[in-house]
Amino acid sequence: MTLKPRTTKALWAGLGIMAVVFVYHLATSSVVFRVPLIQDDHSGEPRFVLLNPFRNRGPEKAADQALLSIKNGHCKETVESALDMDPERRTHICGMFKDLGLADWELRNRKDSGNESELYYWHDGYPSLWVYVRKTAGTWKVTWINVIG
Amino acid sequence: MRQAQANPQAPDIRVSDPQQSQKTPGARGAGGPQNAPQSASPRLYAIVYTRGNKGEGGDQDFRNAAFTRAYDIMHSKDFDPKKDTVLVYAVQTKDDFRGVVEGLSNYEKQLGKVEQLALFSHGGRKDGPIFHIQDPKGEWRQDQFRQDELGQFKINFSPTATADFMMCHTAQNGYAQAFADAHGVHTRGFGDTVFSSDPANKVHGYESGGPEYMLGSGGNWFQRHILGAPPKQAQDFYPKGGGW
Repeated sequence: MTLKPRTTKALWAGLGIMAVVFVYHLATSSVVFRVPLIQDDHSGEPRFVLLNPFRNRGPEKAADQALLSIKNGHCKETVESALDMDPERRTHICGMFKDLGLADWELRNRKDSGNESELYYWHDGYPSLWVYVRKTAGTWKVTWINVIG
Repeated sequence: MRQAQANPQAPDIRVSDPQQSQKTPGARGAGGPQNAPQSASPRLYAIVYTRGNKGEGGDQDFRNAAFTRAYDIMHSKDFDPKKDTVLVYAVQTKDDFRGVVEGLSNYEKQLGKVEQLALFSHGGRKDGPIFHIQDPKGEWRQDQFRQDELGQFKINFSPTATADFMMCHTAQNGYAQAFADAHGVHTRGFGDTVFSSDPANKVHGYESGGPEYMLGSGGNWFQRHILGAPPKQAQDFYPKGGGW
């Protein structure tokens, strides 16, 4: 089968537009795609998420640093600067980490909006850890942590 | 018949649905008064279920199972409708739950001590019942009591009271035992759970209506549906002293 020149042009134009959209998506989004309807039974988060390998890792570095500090036994100091947690919540979360421990974590989903980023992790192989970070004065800072066990 | 009354101190917490209680057929006694002897004192049965399980689902199942429990209690032979009372509560946050269970002591003169406390909810692998908290963006996220917190609650249990943790994992992770120890009450819990239309031998069928029970799973999907493993009743835990 031979395509007419106009059809071929339209096809290439369509592919070009799709490529531009995809490149724009890669440049601006931290996630390539997620399957929203298949969710984890426990957390309600999407089970299949493909993170963008070219994403800005700034938020994740801040979260990693905080989690590493908690792992090393400095939970109180780490959550002290978490602006969206009240003192009661900070105490609660450190108590939870004390009960549960924190050995390793794996990023499974990320949602960005403006200067904020919501990071969802599997915690020691279990879907149960959220870290929120916000860019303030050019620096990413952890603002809220939640963990269940 | 006294049933499912509103809590005047927590009017924002959803209570009672006498219509559903009346519609739910089949009083089979599962979860009904077991240890409670006929007594001159009024007895209070508090059935609590979680709502707002938006991500993980289960609101309707927990509600159905809670009302089945309420119905079964009210139709058991030990239940005296002239003096015994069943209250059904929906809770979303930890504060809701604490308010409900600690607030039950306010009813002692009027309704008696707590004869049974049952909570229908999701359960974590280590830290028991799962409630919800709003994150800074207003989204509801999962939230739990730390392992020692539930033990500090002041719950006005009767000497023959029972507590049921109708959720996953509380039989395996020491939660039910620790609660029994901390409060000195006979406590029951599950490993894993399923919902069933029958309290003894089926693991499905409630979708078409009728009563819905929460049972121990008896195995994974293959074991239940192919090999026919029957569901299990909750495991019993008695106070040993110690606790949280």
